[in-house]
Amino acid sequence: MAELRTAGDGQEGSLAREKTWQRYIKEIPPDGYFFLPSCVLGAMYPAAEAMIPRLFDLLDLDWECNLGPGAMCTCCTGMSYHGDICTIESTLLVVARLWSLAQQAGFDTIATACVTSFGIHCECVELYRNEPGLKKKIDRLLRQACNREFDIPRHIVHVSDIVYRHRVRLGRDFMSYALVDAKTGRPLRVVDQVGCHYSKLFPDERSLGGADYCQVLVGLIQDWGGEAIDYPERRHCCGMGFRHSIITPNRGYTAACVGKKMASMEPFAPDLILTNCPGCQVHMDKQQWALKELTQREYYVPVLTYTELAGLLLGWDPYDIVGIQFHTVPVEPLLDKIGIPHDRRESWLDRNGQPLPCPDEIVRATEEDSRGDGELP
Amino acid sequence: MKENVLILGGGVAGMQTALALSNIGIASTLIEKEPQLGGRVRNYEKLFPSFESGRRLVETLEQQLLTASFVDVRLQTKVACVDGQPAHFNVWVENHRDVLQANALVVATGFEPFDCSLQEEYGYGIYRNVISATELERFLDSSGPTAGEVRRPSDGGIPETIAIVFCVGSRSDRVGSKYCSRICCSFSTKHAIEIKEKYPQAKVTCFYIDIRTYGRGFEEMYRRAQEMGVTYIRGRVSECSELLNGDITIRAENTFLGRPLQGVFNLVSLSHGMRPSKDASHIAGMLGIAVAEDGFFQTRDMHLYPNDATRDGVFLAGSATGLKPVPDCIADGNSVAARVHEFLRRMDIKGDEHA
Amino acid sequence: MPDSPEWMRGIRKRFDYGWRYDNVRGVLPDRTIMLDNGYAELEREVQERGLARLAPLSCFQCGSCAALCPAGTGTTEKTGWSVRQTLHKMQLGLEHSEYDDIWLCTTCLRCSVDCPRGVDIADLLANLRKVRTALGVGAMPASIERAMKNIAGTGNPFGESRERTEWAAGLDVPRFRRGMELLYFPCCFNAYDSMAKGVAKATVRILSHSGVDFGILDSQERCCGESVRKAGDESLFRSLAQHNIGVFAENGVRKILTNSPHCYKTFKSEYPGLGGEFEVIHSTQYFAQLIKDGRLKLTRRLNKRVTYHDPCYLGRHSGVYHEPRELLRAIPGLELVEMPDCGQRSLCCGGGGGRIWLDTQKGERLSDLRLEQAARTGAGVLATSCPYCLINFEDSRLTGPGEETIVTKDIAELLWEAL
Repeated sequence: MAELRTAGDGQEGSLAREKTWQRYIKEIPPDGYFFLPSCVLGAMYPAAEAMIPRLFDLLDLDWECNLGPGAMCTCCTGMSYHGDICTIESTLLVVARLWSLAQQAGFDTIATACVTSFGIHCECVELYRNEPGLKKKIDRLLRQACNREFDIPRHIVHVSDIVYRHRVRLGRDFMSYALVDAKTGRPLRVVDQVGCHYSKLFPDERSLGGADYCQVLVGLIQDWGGEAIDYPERRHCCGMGFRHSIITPNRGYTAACVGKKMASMEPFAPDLILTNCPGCQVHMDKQQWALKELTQREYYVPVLTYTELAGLLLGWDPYDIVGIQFHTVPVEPLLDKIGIPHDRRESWLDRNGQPLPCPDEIVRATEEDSRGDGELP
Repeated sequence: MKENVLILGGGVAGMQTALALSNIGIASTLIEKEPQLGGRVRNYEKLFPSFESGRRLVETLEQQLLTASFVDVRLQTKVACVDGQPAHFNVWVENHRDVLQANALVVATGFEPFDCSLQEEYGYGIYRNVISATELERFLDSSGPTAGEVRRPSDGGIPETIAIVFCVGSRSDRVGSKYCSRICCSFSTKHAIEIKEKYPQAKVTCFYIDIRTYGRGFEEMYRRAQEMGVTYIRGRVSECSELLNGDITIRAENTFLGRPLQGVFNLVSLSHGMRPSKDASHIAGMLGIAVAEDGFFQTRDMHLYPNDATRDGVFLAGSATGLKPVPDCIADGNSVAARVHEFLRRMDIKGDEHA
Repeated sequence: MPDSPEWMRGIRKRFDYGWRYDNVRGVLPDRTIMLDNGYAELEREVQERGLARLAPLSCFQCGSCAALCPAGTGTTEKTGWSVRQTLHKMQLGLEHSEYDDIWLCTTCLRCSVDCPRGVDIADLLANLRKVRTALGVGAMPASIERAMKNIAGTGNPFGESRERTEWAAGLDVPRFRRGMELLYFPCCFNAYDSMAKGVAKATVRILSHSGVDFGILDSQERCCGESVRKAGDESLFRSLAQHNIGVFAENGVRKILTNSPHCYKTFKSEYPGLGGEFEVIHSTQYFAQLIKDGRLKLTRRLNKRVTYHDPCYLGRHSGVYHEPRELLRAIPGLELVEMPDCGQRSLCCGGGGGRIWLDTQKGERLSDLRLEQAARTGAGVLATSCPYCLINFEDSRLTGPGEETIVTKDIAELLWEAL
């Protein structure tokens, strides 16, 4: 069989993978990022987003964002645009303003924490490229709205691109742990869940590795010691779907999508799901609970964002810094596998290190109150 | 001056051109870059629709060439450069030791299979049990690496369920070529029949967009495949994924039923289209002829001069102008001989008196 | 904590592959066809049980069958039955649950006559029903089941007594004896149904009048079993056929005359396979021969405008188109007009394939359509030569809005009137 070319097994050493990879390399600038945070990630997994500035500082990168009191940063309108609530002109306008902020601060690279934002920014750039006269129109509208001017930024990157670019350095110089089972030395099996709007919207120019074999998370997994899993529903959307997950009656669709993915990955025995998109993070995590209720099937595969994974492997405090207590699927078993020490009691401490009231008390208080004037504490 | 025709390419088209020329008394030099003649047909266990041996066809032609009086065969030889003008070409051969004089040039350089790894969603080169039609031919070749047994690359076992995917790299705006490679439906059906003949219990499923078994005897071959139990599903394959045991899941829409379909197969064969040979543009530049939009050599007129290149004295035979089945390649060889003959007469080139 | 909504609690491990929730229709299974599930399973079961092959191998899905199928082109939106799709599902060997509509088929054969690949579609569908019955999946509709039970019990689908010759009371019909030229075999409808009895009576009167050497068998006979086989009950069909063949052989029957094209086809094409080789002739063929031989003379004038409906089993199945028309033209005074979709294109009345035992909803009845077509020719009489057609058309007239005055008669009845 020497004469026959046989495909590489798993993920390494295959000629075809190399060829695919080479077709989809994109430029990620090493420095100079204007950071735009997300809406959903900051709300649902605040620690995940809060670690982004930490990582930037750790790597000593030149970056800035417009947060804090008097902040000028806004949502990119991704959720409303894709949820069919606002028009493309509104989106273009809001994004133009964000670009103007970036340029005001002296940056020509936009780094988004959210994949939807990434998609929105890229889409705006494409629109300007393809529609003559559009820039003039939005120039005029921006001036009317808030007296600003903007240019099309040179680069749009996602923060996971940045982490990808610096992954080797992170792993080599800063990380104390690896994606390896501490007891047996087995590389952990990790499923990569890349946001659709990262890999599929503009696969040729904007996705590292293209749509089918996206590399942005696989690179992190491989360089940090783990094993990336390919399974049949790998490229299936998590089902977040904007108006599917926002509207309760439609949310069954989202649950079904996650259900399909979980059933498909189960035979491959994954230890972890790695995400770079807030939507995927929220739903791959929380719908596992819904599936348990609906179908009696338990998966218990922990879902982490790339920043959370980086934070854990860097040895940052799992509860205080990485915030694994916000997760629905417990992350502690994974910590045990990697060998990261943790104390469960710390999962219920507030910002000042004081324990928060326990759940039973909250429920009791709620019940008491609802019998009264109906106001929640 | 002794007349001579230079034929680039020793596949069946080139071989037939040399033979046809020899039969009408015109001498030719047949140049082939590989160490043997026969091109791709040499390795085809069976040709469609006759199911006769490709190897034997090539051997027949080789035998005839041996006894042909006016053919000079040069193997492992490539052309380095050509200059001069129509009816008086000077051809430098690779190592520059030799300069050949030719009155006419015939391009019979054939084709190149489409690189299936470009169509990433099928996982060629990444998933072990996704193979290409070229590889399937090697499996089916009784003197090939597996002595004619079709084996799964992952474990060497005989597959029980096989899928054949049509139109890989063809008819696409996005990847490969926009044109239809014409013979893939036919050779895929041939493969299906070959597999069923070898393994009657095997389940063979073909996923297609159209069935273009257009030639003489091809429709009958299609019907034969159906009656042997080959299943044909109309729906272009969207994606292949690998399962733990190496089986491949195929996703396509069953357009007959208007529903998505998923099937698990032990082995998937991608029936890829064909591209112009890698050095087509280079040869075109060397010879001063044009290449058409689809990458194959441009003919002087699509209807009236399908074997003439865009320069006087240069002629085209075989799949160099687009994929065609073997009988058409042979026919091309005969046609080119006639065209060369007419050209030489017109240019008043006469050969020496042959006994 | 509030209870989970009903739909949440309702989802369990039902769906192998996937499901989705639609807020109007609730939980829906994934529409994906899983080729690994049903693909080999059904075929294997078919093979193991020695059942007829199910896959129409040479079908290439051209769709010319589906465009002609009366059930598919149908009278209502609801039917939505596609022969082509069903054939493809059989090619894929899809699971049993996929074939809900197969009872819509009347085996009228409009699909197969022009099939470019020569697929015998009606036969395959009957096989499909057979397979499903044998595998115990796919319920036979209740009324068909009743008819089958009756046939198994008393030899006729109506559940009436075994005595098949009551229709002949007072007619002095000879009993068949060895050596007689012809056995007259009335269809169960001709024997028992009040409307169709007239056809049997007319037939024997014509035969007697013409001096034909014929007789009838009595309660030994049973239903020919045609609709039994089409409904998929192969074992019952065989027992009926073997019984009838035995009775015929015992009595020395060589030639069988029947009014029903269904009995005709069954005796002619299906009984030989079970050992019963007889010469079979349809009443229209025989009468036409009688007229040609001069044994049957039609003297009375019938000044009627008549149109003729080709029954599926006489026309497409058996190729008999000319004789019925010859007979009608031989009747003095009768004006024969052809209606659209005649001959090979004839539109089914809806009675074949076992559907004679099913109650088709108003608005979906093919016979309504056909009667309308007949009426539009301006004819006062719709002539036919099949008991199912007769029953269906008369039923359409009687249950119709009352505007149709076109009466359906069997050719035998018209001939008798013309004697």
